[in-house]
Amino acid sequence: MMRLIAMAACAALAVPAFAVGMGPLEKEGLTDGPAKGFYLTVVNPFEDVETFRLYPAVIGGEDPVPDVRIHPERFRLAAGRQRRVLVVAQNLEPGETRVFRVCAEKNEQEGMIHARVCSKLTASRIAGQ
Amino acid sequence: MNKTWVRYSLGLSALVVASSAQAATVTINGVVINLCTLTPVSGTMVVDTAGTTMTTESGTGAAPATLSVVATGAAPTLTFTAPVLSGPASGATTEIRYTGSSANQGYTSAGSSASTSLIDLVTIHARVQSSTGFPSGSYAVTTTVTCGQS
Repeated sequence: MMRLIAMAACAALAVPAFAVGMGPLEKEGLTDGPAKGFYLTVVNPFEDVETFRLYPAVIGGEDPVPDVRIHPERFRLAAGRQRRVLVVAQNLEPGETRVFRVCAEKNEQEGMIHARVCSKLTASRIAGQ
Repeated sequence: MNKTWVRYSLGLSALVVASSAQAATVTINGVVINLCTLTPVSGTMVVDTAGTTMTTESGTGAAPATLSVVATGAAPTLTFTAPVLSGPASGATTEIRYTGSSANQGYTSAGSSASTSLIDLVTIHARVQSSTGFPSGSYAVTTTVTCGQS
């Protein structure tokens, strides 16, 4: 009887592994204008094509960050391939330093572990411009 | 010394000179950036014989989840969100614990973080306790693991 209950209550069965990789994990940049761009590299070490999504978030939280554009935000990546993604911090005020993170994960998460990789980005605009 | 020998000697000398003149240093460069790759594999929970605990630790078919970490550059930090249970049971206590070569955490229902090695395999166990038992249905414990720089 207990075995039947155990079988019925069996949770997430093992699912095929997927993977997500991204770097660099930290990057800083200085600009004299209102926008600063960063390139990040997303890697699909999985053995199948996958769709990934990237999104900005505040440091230490999940709230979105305004004035950050990601090109592209969502894309398919062949097995074993990598691609660069452009992240642009916009509307920087003179003297402003904006610290945020950009996270990459599989578009549709499944299984017990939702894996993601986040890069910490620091965009600074010099004062007096 | 005959003419043939002289000609041969001069040719050999020229060859030696030519060889040393073409010596070159070959350099192969490599740049390592700070990158992290996570590869998770889900586990399986099984209800114990008392019917009040569902776990990856014991029982036929029970298996922990694993998380492969491959990083370059600086050793990254793994951040785990508080585990969330989905399923018919209500009022259950949901916890996870994990062990790796450098990341270790006992059972907790809260979020946690730990430094990891550049190459690591983290084993993640889940435990759900419900004094009222587990109604039939599908259950899942999920946690979001973030690889980043602290």
